[in-house]
Amino acid sequence: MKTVKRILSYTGLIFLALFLTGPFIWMIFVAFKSSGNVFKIADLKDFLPFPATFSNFIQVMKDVPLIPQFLLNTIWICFWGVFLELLIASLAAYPLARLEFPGRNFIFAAMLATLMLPAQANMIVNFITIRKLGLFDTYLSIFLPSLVSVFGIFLMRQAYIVIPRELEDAARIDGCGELGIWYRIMLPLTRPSMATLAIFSFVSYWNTFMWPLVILKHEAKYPLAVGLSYLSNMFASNFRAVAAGSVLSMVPIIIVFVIMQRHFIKGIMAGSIK
Amino acid sequence: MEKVLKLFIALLISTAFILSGCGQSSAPSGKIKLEFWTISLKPEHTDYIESLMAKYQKENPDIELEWIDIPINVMMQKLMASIAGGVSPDVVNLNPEYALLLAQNNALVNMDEAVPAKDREKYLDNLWNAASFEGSNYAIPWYVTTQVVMYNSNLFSAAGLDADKGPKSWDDIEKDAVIIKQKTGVYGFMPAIDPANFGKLLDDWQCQGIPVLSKDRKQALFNSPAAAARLQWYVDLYKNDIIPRETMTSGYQGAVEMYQRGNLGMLVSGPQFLLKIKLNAPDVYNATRVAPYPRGKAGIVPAAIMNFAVPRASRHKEEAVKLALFLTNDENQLQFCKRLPLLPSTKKAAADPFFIEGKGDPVQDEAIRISIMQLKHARNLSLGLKNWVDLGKALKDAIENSMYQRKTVQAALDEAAEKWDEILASGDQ
Repeated sequence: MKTVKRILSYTGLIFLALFLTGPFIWMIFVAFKSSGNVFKIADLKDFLPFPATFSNFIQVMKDVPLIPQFLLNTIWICFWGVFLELLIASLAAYPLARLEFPGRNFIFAAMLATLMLPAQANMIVNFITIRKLGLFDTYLSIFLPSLVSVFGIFLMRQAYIVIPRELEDAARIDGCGELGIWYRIMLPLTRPSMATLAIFSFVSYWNTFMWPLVILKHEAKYPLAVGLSYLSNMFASNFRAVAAGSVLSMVPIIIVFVIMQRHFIKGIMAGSIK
Repeated sequence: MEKVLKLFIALLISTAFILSGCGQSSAPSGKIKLEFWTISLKPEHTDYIESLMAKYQKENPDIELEWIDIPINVMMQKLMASIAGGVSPDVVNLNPEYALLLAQNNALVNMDEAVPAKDREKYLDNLWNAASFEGSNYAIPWYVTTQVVMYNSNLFSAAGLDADKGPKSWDDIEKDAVIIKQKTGVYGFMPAIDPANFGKLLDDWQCQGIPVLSKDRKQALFNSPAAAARLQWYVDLYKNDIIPRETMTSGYQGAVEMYQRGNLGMLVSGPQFLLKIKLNAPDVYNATRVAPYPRGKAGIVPAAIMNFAVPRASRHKEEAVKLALFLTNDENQLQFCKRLPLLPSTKKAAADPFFIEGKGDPVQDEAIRISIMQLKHARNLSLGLKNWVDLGKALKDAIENSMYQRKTVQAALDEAAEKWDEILASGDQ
């Protein structure tokens, strides 16, 4: 009975997983397809990428020879962007969650209010600011405007709030200063939330498209997502190459996710148990 | 969202003039530096643009060119930010919709004033005026495509239709679509009238000779019996399952994919789309035949136009206009059309025998031959109205209410027309 139940539930789950990952699987198959109609999926023969080929990936390299450069740009942007965003969010959220000072709630509310502003509003102001700072067409200009992430501060604040006061008091008795408490007590306890924020911010930097195109002038500085847009030009986008390019650009995200997965799941459930 | 966008165009144009004092990069040798932007031509047409640049710089040794290529979906944001930030490009590739939006906010150079009559005359009259606002044109037309009917001859044969004769009229399209659906089970036709693309319905009415706007542009006229009858035609097709459910949800993109899967009999689109089919669905490409766009009472064919505009924030407007004229001259346009199934916007280039003779690819040659013969009927049908988002919302509701039969077509259009009148009266058009 138990086995039957298990078989049934697993069949159901496998079916659901296939359903949800369907478009993604289709894209991977298209990336390896050599010839024939990309969009035909009526029968399995059309759907499966046989004979499989790497030629689409080679085509991507040929069409967009700067891809290794784009990849390095993206890694550089992601590294600094994620690191600084985490640092700022965790530092800024700490007093908002754990310290009593006048105007605390007002500051927090004011920060949340900025979330209501449409992205276009920020863009032009950011553009002018970056120009005035003399940072136009630099790597720094790509991640500078998003370093202070209100979402990140909010997430970290919620993580700090649930930590028991006793831990903090104990640290204080042992002679820990405010920064020491933050670094030794709070940070280790909020690791799941940090991992969650890291994944969110990594993915958003990885996929960042609009802003770099607006603020950059020279294509040698483009991140990968922007560079891949060269694959689909005005008149004829080779869907196989586009799929191959998308597959290439997703590999690092999957790697990061797998590494952070354990923390990430914990992060999603954070708050429900503590 | 677009409302906000528009608000910001207005805002930033004003900022642009305040900020225009700060740092435009100028070439060290005292040369004039012109920056021009194109839409999505890299990397495939890099050699073409670079060859034009080389030619231009040879003729104008005192001008330095910088070329930047941008995907279309970022064009407006980048342009607005750049104008506001004081780093406006000098020449920019737009389409009439974008050009009109910017022209309404006084951001573009008036080309009727800036271009001498002898140069204006070189362009086809119906295309020169494509980006006209309040009687003046704000962009120089570049390449053009006119719509044709592509059809899958395999499906036509399977349905017992004559595969050598495409549909000649909208009635033919309906008849063929009914037969294809009956005989083969797949849909014959999927019109681009999904609510998200409400503009297509306005185009369609205009093609049918149905006025949509009063002369003084203060009153909507699309609640006339003729307009209602046209929309009713689509509603009946939908109700009778002659056009697919996806018509209302996935629109033109959906039709394009369906056609490439071989599951759609006919597709109304520009010939440049053939390049995509050739790459992604070679079997469907080989079966594709082309028929002229069925012209309605107005006798016009909808055209997609790309153009070059010069922002008023440019430092070298005079040189910029000359560059735009150079990029779109007869010789350079003809050269571009030989690379791609596109049409030129100048009279001399359009008269070149190449467009009739073709280049040896039967499907594309046929499409181009049909397309060039329609060129004199080509119109860009953008209305160039302010408050476009709100107007669109009213029309979108009317399409939905009609198609889902929540209201009669007449009632739905009356309601939309009333809203239009209100909006048109409130803003000065």
